[in-house]
Amino acid sequence: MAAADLLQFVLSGLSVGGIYALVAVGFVTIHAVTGVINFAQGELAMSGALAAAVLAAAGLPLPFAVAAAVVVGAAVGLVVDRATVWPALRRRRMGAVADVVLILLTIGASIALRGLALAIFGSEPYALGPFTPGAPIVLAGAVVPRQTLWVLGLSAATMAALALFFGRTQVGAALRACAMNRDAAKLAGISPARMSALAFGLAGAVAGLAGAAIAPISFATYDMGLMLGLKGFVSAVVGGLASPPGAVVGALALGVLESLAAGLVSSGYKDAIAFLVLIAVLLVRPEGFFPGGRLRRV
Amino acid sequence: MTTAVARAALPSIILACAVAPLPFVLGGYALSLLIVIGLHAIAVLGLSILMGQVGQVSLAQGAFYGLGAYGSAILALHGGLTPLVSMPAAVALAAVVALALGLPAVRLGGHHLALATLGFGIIVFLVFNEEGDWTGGPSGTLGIPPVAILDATLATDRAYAYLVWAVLLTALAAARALLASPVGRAFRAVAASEVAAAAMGIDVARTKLVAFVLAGALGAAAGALYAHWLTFVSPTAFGFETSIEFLVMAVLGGLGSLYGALLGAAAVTLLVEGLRSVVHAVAPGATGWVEIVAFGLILIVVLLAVPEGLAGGVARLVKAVRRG
Amino acid sequence: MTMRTRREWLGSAAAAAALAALPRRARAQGGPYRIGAVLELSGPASIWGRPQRESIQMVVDDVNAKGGIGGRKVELIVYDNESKETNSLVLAKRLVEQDGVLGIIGAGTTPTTMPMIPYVTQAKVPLVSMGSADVIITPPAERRWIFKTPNNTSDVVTKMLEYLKAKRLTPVAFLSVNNAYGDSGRREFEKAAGKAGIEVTVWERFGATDKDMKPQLTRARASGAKAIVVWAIPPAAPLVAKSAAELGLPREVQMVHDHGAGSSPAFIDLAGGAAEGTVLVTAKLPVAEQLPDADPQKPVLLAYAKAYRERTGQPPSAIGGMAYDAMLLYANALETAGADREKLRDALEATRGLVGVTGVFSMSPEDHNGLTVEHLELARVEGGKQVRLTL
Repeated sequence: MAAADLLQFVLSGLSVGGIYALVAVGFVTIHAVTGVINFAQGELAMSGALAAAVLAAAGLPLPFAVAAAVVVGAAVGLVVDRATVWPALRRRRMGAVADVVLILLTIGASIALRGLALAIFGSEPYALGPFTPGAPIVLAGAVVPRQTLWVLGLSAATMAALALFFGRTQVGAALRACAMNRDAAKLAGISPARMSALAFGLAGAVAGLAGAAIAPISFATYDMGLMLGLKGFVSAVVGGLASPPGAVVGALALGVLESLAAGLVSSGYKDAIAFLVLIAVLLVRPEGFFPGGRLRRV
Repeated sequence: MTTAVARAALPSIILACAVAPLPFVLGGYALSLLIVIGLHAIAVLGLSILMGQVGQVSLAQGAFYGLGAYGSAILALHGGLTPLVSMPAAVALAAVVALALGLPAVRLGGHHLALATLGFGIIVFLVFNEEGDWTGGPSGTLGIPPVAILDATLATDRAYAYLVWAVLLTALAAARALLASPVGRAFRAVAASEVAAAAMGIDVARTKLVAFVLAGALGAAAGALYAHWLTFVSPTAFGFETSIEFLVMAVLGGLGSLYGALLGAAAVTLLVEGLRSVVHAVAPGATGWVEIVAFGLILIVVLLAVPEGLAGGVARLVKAVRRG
Repeated sequence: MTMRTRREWLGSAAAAAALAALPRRARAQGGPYRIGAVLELSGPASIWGRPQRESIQMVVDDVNAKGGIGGRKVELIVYDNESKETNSLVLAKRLVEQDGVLGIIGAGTTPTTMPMIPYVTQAKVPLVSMGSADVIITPPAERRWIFKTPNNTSDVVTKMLEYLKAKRLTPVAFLSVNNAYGDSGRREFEKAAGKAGIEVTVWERFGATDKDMKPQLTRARASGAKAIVVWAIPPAAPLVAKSAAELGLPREVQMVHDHGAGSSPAFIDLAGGAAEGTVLVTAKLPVAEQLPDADPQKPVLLAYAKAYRERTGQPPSAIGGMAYDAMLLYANALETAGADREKLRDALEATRGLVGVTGVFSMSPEDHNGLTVEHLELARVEGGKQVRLTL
C-alpha cells in the first residue's frame, strides 16, 4: 500500500466528510435553538441543489444560481418551521407533544418535500458545474478536486460564521438563551416563534448553500436528501449535537473512516466499519467529541 | 391469576371474533392487505412498547424484521428445518442479538441510543447485502418454503391471514398482561425517571434490556412470517427506510398503546392504498408523486391534530361522545 | 363492554368496511383489453420507472390511434410500487383481482419482480418483466408465465469479454454497485471471465448513493489491472467515471462500462468530459444512426427515438425501450390471443421475429427472453457521443 494511496484515502474521506459537515452544521443549529432533530435537513439541501442546477442550466450565471440556492433553502426551511414544527413546539411546553412526535413531523415534511421535488424535477439526476473549473489539485501523489476545497472551505466558513453569530451578536445570544430556557427568554422579550423561524431559516440557508456546493461533485437528485440527512444526523450526534465545530469534526471523522475502510478493508462493509468505530467511541465517551452545556433530564 | 389473564385476553378475543370472518369475505388483494397489516402490527407492537412504555428510542426495528426473515429463511433453506421450527428458532436468535445490542445500548440515552440503533440497523443491512453465500446477497433469496403444519401447506392467503393474526392477537394479549404486571410497572417507572426508578430499587439496565429483547423478538417474529409468505427476501426490504416506516406507524398509532400499534399499522397501509385509488381515479397520469406528497401532508396534519396518536385521539373522541 | 373493547370493535369494523369497500372493476365483455403495469415511479429505481411508463403509454396510444386490436382498444393501468417488493406483490393482486387485467408488465428491477412470480404463476396471468437478472426466467419449467425484455446479463458479459479478449486486456479490476443490479453483473462476470481467459485482480463495491469512488479505484489501479470494468447505472456510473478521471486513470487503463451506462444518455451528460474514451456495452438504440441500413431494427429505433423525444422532450433511453418492447409483445400477442390469459401466454411464447427496440424477439418454451448477444453493441465515447465500435 503506497503512501500516496493512503493519502488519497484520507483526502477522499475529507472530501466526503466536508459534504456531511455542511449538512450537519444545519442540524446542530436547529437543535441548539429549538431542541428539534430536523429530519428534513437533507431535503433542505436537496432544494438548494436542484434549484441551483435547474437555474444554471437555464442560463443563470453560477454565482446567482448559488445565491438562489441559499434563498430557496432558507425559504423551504421557513415553510417547514411554520407549517410543521412551530405549531407543535408551541404546545410542547404544555407537555402535549412528545419529542419523538416533533421528529416525526419533520419526517412528514421530508416525505412531502421529496414528493414535490419528484413532481417538479422528475427522478433523473441534474449536473451543476464546479464553482471554479480546472484540473484537480495534486498533493504528494494524491488528488483533490477543486470543488472539494470549496466544500471544505465553506464548511469552515459557515462554522466560523455561526460561532460568531451565536457568540457575538445580540440575536445569536438571544437564540442561545431560547435554547436554555424558553420562559426566561420570553420574559426578556424574545419571541420563541421568531427564534424558531430564525433557526430554521438560517439552517435552511446553510443547507441550500450545501446543496449547491455538493451538486457539482455528486449531482442533484430528488432523493439525495435521504443519505445526506442520515449522515448529517450521525455526524451531528457524534459531534455532541451542541456546537457547529463538533458537527464538522464528527462529519470529517465519518467521511475519513468510510474512506479508509473502503480502501484498506472492504468496500462492501465500509459504512458498517465506520459506524462500529463511531459507536465504540460513543460508548467510551458518551458526550461525543465536543460536549456542550446540555441539561440532562432527571 | 386467571382473571388477570382473562382481562388481558378479552380484547384480543373480541378482535379475533371481529376479524375471523374476514379472510372468507375478502378477495385476494384485500386479503393481502390484511396480512400486511398484521405483519406490520406485530413489528410495530414491539417498537411501541419499547418507545412508549419504556421511553427508549429505536431505529433498528427494520433490522430485526430482517433478522427474523433471513434467519428463518436460512434455517429453512440451508438447515432443512420446517418453517414451524425455523420461525421460532429465528425469533430466539434475534432475541439473542437484541440482548447483545441492548447490553451496551442501555448505557446510552436519547440521541446516542437512536444513533446506536441506527448504526446497528445499517450494519445488519450490510451483512445481509454482503454475505451472499448465506443470504443471496443483494439479489436476495428465492424459494423460501411456505409454512406447513404436518402435511398441509399454508399456501393460501386465507390460511396465512389466520396464522398472522393468531400470532398478532396472542402477542397483544401477552403484552397486555405483561404491561399490567410488575414488569410493566417497572417499564413505566423507568420511562418517567431513571433516577427515581433506581431509587425505588428497580434494576434500570435490566428493565430496559427486557424491553429491547421483547421489541427485537416481536420484530423478528413479524419478519419470519413475512419471509414465508412472500417466499422471497432481499436486503432492501430491511433497511433504514423500513425502520422509519415502523416508527411512523408507531407514533401515528400512539406510542405505548398496544392497540395503537394495530391502528397505526392499519392506518398507514390503508392510507397508502387509499391514496393510490384516489389518485388513480382522479389523475391517473400523476401516479408516483401525488401519493407521496399527500402521505407526507396527511402525516403532518394528523400529528398536529392528534399528537398523542390515533389511539389517544379515539379515546378522546369516545370520551367527548360520552360526555356530550 | 369496556370503553377500550368498544374501541376495538369500531376499529376492526371500520377496517373491515374499508377493505371490503375497495373498488372492484368488473371485466366487461367486449370491452377494452386491460393490461396492468407495476413500475418504480418513486424510490431508488425511479430513474428507470418514468421513462418506462412513457414508453408503454406510447405503444398503447399508437395502437389505439389505429383503432385498437380487432376493434377493441387497449387500456393501461399503472401502479407505483415505490421500488418496494411487498408493494409489487400486493399491486399484482390488485391488478388481477380488482382491475381484471389480462396480463401484467413489471417490474423494472429484479427484486421487485421476484415476489410476483409465484402469484402470477398460481393465478395463471402472464408477466413481462424489465428486470435484468436471468433468474427471472430460469428455470424455464418453473417460469411458464414469466417473460423478460432486457438482454440477459450473461449476453452483456459475453459482449464485454469479447472486447476484453480482442484487445488482450487482462488482468482487469471489477467494480460494481452493491445492489441487485450490480450483483447480477458480478456473478455472471465471475462465471464467464475465467473461461474467456480474463483474470480479475480485485472485486470492489460501492454504494448507489456514494459520493466518491476514489478509494476503490485507487485499489484497482494498485492491483495492476489493464482495464477497469464498472457495472452500475446513473448516477453512480458517471460518478465512477468522474472519480476515475480525477485520478487520471483513463490515461493509464481502459475504462469499460456495462449497458447500464450505455443505455442512458444520462451517463455521458453527467460525466461530461470524464467519460471520454470509455468503452460501453450498449443496446442498439444509442448508436441507431450508425447502424448499417440493412439492420432490421434501425427503422424501429429511429422511430422510437423521434417519438419519445417529441412526447417527453427528453432524449430516449434503452431502459424505456425495454418497457416499450414489453407492451409491443403484448400488442402483438393480443392479435392472435384475444381476451384469454392462457392464449395470451401461448401467443407471447410463440413470438417470432418481432422487431423491437431492445432487439428482435424470438421466444420459445426454453427461452422467454428471445434475444441474443447479437442485439448488443460496443461503443466508445468520443466527443460526447457514443461511437459504434466493431471488433
